Amino acid sequence: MTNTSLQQAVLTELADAVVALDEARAVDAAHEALNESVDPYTAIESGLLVGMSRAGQLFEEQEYFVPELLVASDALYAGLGVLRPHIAADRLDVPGKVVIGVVEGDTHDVGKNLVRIILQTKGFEVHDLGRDVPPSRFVDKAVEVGADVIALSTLMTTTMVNMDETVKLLAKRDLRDRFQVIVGGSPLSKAYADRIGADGYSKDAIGAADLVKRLVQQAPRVAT
Amino acid sequence: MSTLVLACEVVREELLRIRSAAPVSFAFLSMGLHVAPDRLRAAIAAELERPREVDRIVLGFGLCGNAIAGVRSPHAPLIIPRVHDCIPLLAGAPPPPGAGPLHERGTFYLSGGWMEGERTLYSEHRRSVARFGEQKALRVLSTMLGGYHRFLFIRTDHPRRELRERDAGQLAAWVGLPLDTVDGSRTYLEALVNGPWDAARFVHVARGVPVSPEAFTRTTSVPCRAACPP
Repeated sequence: MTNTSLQQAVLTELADAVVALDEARAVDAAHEALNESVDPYTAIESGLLVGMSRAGQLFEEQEYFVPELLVASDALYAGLGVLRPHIAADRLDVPGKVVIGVVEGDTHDVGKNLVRIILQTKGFEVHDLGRDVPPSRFVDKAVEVGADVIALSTLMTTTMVNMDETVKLLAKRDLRDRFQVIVGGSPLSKAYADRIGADGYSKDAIGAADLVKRLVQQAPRVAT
Repeated sequence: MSTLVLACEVVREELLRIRSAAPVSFAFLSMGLHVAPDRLRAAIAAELERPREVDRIVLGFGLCGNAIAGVRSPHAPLIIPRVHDCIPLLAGAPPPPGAGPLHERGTFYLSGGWMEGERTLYSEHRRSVARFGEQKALRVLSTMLGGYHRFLFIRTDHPRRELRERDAGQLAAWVGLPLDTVDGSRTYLEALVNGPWDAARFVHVARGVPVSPEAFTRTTSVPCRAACPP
């Protein structure tokens, strides 16, 4: 095999290890990537995250369910632990800051945690407020850390209203233009996101990370 | 006047034990659909589109993660319990105004149907053990239950209630959470099958009109419309 094809084989193995839900295999593949001089950043983006994306697709197709996604994220994390210390300092620039949490009244946090993991994997600085988070905590934390994006999650129809409340609170404090707000969760839709004046909606975790990236690139953060 | 009850299989056993003087037929959809509201919406819509000789269709579903939002019934008017999920149906009464599925935050509700259905915590854990081994499956289960501090099993007249309650006890023991029990009531499900479909407990939707999710978030009762029973 040529050097390039060897490197490509390692990237494929990294992705396959995540899809196979195999932590040990992901760690081995990550070491193999370093041995074959694959750029660690590329190994994460074009290896591990490709695998996570495929696991997400299998979830969509009902081949995988929540337990599989959780175990896939274990494999992703395990590979990341090997690769991240080798990323060159100049590639470690934080692309943006995100405050994330499950809105007040709801304690379902599996989806939110997956979004957090993928955002962290992509290098974002993520401030996770956990679950059952009141609107004021999202706003205060976003101001405190100078966030680019506030990401709100819920699984319940009864607590969707607290996404609306958070957007309204930002407006009330004259902060609406300072942060991008994104929403996600199984009862939500793009139409709902539009109705409450959110800046973005994603139906899955991989899409949420892409959305954050896009929003941050479109509207670079203004130093505060 | 004939009625079709189109319901989630989570309440199948309880519904099939309700007697009715009027003609009632039943159709059930898999519980597995509840994890994907878009799929549940499509499955309900497909059932509603089948031509049937019934005068009304009563749904044994609530808003269920917005799964019924926008659904239309082309052949018969729809009657839907004014609930976000099945917990009030099993408990016997609509939730207090403004209360959500988690009437008590951090409580994970179970019932006979919830222990037997597809894609429930229990069935997913058993599948997880087979796939990942006990240790990893237990960690996954604990992660999924991170926000909960107890289980509450709703006792109904489900025929395998005692067995399922024991299963629930095992589930609780695995993750070290307490299991409490509460007696449910047939009141709401009896009304679902036989009426009265009063507007305080049921949303009425005319034939061909899309179901509006806002009807489920109102905290005051609405006047009865033409589709209400006399």
